[in-house]
Amino acid sequence: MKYNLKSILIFWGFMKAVILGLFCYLFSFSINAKEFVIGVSYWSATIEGQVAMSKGLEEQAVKINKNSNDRIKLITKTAGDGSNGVRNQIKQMDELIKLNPDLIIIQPTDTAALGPSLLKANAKNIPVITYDQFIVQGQTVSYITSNNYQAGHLGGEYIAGKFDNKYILKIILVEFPSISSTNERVHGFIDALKESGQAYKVIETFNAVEPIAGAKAGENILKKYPAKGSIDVIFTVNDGGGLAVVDALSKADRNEILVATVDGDPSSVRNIKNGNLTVIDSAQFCAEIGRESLNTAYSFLKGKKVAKKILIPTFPITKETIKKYPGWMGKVPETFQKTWVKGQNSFWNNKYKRIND
Amino acid sequence: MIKLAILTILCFISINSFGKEFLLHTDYNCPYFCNEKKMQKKGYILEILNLFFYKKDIKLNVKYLPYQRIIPELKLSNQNISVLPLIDINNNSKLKTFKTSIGINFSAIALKSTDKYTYISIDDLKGKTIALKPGGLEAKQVTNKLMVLNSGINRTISITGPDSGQRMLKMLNLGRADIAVSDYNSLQFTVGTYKIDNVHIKPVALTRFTPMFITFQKMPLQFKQLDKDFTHFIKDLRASGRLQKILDKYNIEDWKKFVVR
Repeated sequence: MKYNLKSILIFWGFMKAVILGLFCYLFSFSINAKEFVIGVSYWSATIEGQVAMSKGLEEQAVKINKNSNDRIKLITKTAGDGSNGVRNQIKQMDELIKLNPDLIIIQPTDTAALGPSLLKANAKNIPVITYDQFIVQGQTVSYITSNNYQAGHLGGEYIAGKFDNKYILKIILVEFPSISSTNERVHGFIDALKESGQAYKVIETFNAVEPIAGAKAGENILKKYPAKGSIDVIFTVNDGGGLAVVDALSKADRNEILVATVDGDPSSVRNIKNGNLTVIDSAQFCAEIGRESLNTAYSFLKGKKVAKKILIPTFPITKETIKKYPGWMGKVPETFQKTWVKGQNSFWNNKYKRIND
Repeated sequence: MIKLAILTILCFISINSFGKEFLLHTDYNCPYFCNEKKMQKKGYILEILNLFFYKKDIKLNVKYLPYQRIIPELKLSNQNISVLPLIDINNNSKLKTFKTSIGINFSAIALKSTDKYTYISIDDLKGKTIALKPGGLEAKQVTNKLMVLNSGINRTISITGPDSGQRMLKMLNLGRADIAVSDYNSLQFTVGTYKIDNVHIKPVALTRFTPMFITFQKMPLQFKQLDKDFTHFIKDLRASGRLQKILDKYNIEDWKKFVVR
């Protein structure tokens, strides 16, 4: 009987400890569980790649809300295209700052014009994360973008693999010098040619990152270089302008030209499939940029250290790799050998680059 | 025996001095390279280069010449170097650069403090009187585009000669120009040096956004090692706070925030 009482007492003590532990566990969860309000300012609701970025961001918020006790509440605004979009975004940033959210994520429509808005957020101690583009003035927690240098570099090495090194390539650049990301792409492309020992001459440059300017560039290229063989390669810094260039050249039956481009627009992927001028498109993982932006914001709000700059790899879509490409909404796949590159660096680099300084 | 020893010493001296001297080709472009006699400041890039090459026991001489003549000079010797914007480097397949940049170059406008309008593109400058320094890329592109926008009427005022940056900003204060267009760092430097009030500087994506690199055409023997050393040198200079001290003298920001690589 004595033994039974002792057992009951031990059991009761044990049960009390379990109940108390469970209570503490649940209580601590309810204390630590937080609601984070994040203001989000998107750029475009019509440009497909940018829509994929916003979808990725929202998808990640849903995932965090499902898998943790925290709750992320997004207040989203979309600026829209063109110079009106820039002005809208400045207004929308003011509105978001007034709401005093825990953090703001912004895809800037302009690297310079959003500077005063960022400074306002800094003054109110609202942390800001930018993605796709950075903002020249003010301080941000982190900047998430594609590895633009890699995007250009992949194009350059693919092109170099198609020609004899001694042959002097006649190249046209369709670029946009006032934006850093597109400059990085050009730099990567040129560096790859130089590293491969490929002789080249930039015979002309045009400025275009959107369809109207792209169509005009296409028209001017045809006017200035009407003879077949007068151009070997065109590098376009994005599909926004590049697709219109390809369209114009294709209509003029200039299929001898090789085009390297960046973005991974489905129309450009079709051009590669159909052998229509474009031979490589370094695709951005658009949704992944959005996902990573929200992940970074969440980590920061949870008090973790985040990298100042995060670069998402870009994927070389070519005839050889097209089957491995998961599309704009896809995640970064396993690495593979780039058959057109000889030597040690022949594997595609699928690593995220985190820069802390 | 003595003759042999002297010969050996002479050979050693000549081998050692080969490649121990570089000739930097540049134009005057403050705050990058300043006219020392006038400014009492060398320019932040020249200060950095002097520190680096001194550490490497390499003598750095400087030759000032018009910008257009710099690239042709580089092919003459493997000791000729320059600091060029990436845009100009890309167009020449023979130019080689160090991997680490030494600054960034982008356009900006200076406005009267009372002007609260948000200028986004060159189209916003239509009808405005613009002060600019002729000769640069900004000036050329802005002038050409504005001529079209203003139906052939030239509303730009070219400011030439010494102290052009300072005079450009004074014109704003006097109401003789609405906006001044130039390189962002140049405007920041001018405002800071001459303590010009009632003017604010805004970066605008007008012309170019380009990092600057130490450039060679003929590669010196020690190129690879120098390239690596320069990367470490800039890293250390930054970590020690010495880089910021140099930049503060010129009222400009560290370019590391713009480096995405």
